[in-house]
Amino acid sequence: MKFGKNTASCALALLLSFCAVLSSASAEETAQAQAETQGIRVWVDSAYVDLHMGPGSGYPIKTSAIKGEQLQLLITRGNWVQVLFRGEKLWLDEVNLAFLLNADKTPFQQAGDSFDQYRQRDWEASFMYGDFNGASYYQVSAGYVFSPIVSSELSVGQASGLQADHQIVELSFYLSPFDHWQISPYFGVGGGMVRTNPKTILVQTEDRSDLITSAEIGVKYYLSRNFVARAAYRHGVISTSRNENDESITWKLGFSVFF
Amino acid sequence: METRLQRLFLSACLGTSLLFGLAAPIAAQEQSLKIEPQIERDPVTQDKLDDESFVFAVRGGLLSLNDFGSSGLAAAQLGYHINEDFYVAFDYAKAKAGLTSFEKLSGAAPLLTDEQRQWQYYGAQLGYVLFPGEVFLTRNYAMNSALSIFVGGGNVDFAGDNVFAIQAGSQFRVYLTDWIAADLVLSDYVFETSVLAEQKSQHSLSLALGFAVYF
Repeated sequence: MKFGKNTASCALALLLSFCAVLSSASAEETAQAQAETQGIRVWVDSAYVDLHMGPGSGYPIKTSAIKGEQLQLLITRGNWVQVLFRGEKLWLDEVNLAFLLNADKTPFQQAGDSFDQYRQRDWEASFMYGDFNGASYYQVSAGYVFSPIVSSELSVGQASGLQADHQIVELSFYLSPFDHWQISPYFGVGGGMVRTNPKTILVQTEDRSDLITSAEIGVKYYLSRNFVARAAYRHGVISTSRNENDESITWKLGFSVFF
Repeated sequence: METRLQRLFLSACLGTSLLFGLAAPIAAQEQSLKIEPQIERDPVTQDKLDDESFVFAVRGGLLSLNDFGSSGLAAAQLGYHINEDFYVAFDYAKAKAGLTSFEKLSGAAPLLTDEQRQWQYYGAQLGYVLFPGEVFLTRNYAMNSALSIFVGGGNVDFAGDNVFAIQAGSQFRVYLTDWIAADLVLSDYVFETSVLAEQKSQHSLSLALGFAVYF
């Protein structure tokens, strides 16, 4: 009865940790409240700002801070900022940061233009999902951006088809000539290796590795913060040991995070 | 007469020089009191705030595998909240399949080795916070909660085969504090398998309970 044993130990471990967290939670909260005299002190400069119970407009509004009242900004999560107001931790929508003043009565400065940050990015990581010659395909990749126009990328992909699995590793170089557009097309070339593992139960076939060279055309769409949506079409030529080369066609859709 | 004029002129000179001579250090002193700060002003901006949008979760629960019964599941997840509605996450889950009814009843040699019986999933998902809200523990004590739905894709390693899998499900999260939450996740892993001779699409449902920490 492996099932029973596993489940029991899992449940016990969870129960124990649950109790531990619950008991530490209340003590921790008081300690945190005392320690958190830091944060950024700001004053409300509009008629009022709403303060929510949680980081989202779906959470109820607990109270409002009116003009001249002081808030302490603590952390951000998503597009919300946690504030300390009259000893209570509440959440303020990021758009309201425009209505706050610093101690010296200057307007509180919001985060810089994120589209500019996107154009000046150095590193980019992507996850994409799609189709490789009729097989389900997904890839993870990491890239270095030399300039807003020139970038490089190392990608590792896995295609799972009915007849065979493929693992594809490629290094690519891309050009994005219209880097200042929010929807920006790009193209590039790359090369690497394809490892093919045929899925046959009856006939024993060997795994094989072949060279691949390919060209890609795609489009990047800057979403918000440090997220970019991305769609691409890639055409590759696989140099096999047979007399003829194979072709590969990849469609993929995904997102990138930049740093 | 001349000496009188000279005396007057000299005393005037002396007076003015004394006046200026005394006044100059005072003025200088006044000037030196206005100390210009040498430090550069560091503007207070939103970027100074700590961003706690990452979340790491561990869970334990049950996974039901077609033909192989139910087994214990352990899962870990690293997520990032893009905004109040969407999050992305990388998932890893592990389980060990039990015996099929055939293996139990026939007493024949097991179909899979111990290593092949290990079930593993890794992949990425996109989640949407459908119902943010509160749960009331007592009349006056409420905790934030969120019901999310998610869909993602990845790989299942099972029975010596590595296949593509789709993962979809829902997650109920209760925030114990601002940075610790309890999770209850119902998830369906859909993948093609040919382990029992025929190729078929398999739904593996899992139910897991765990904790999430924001950082």
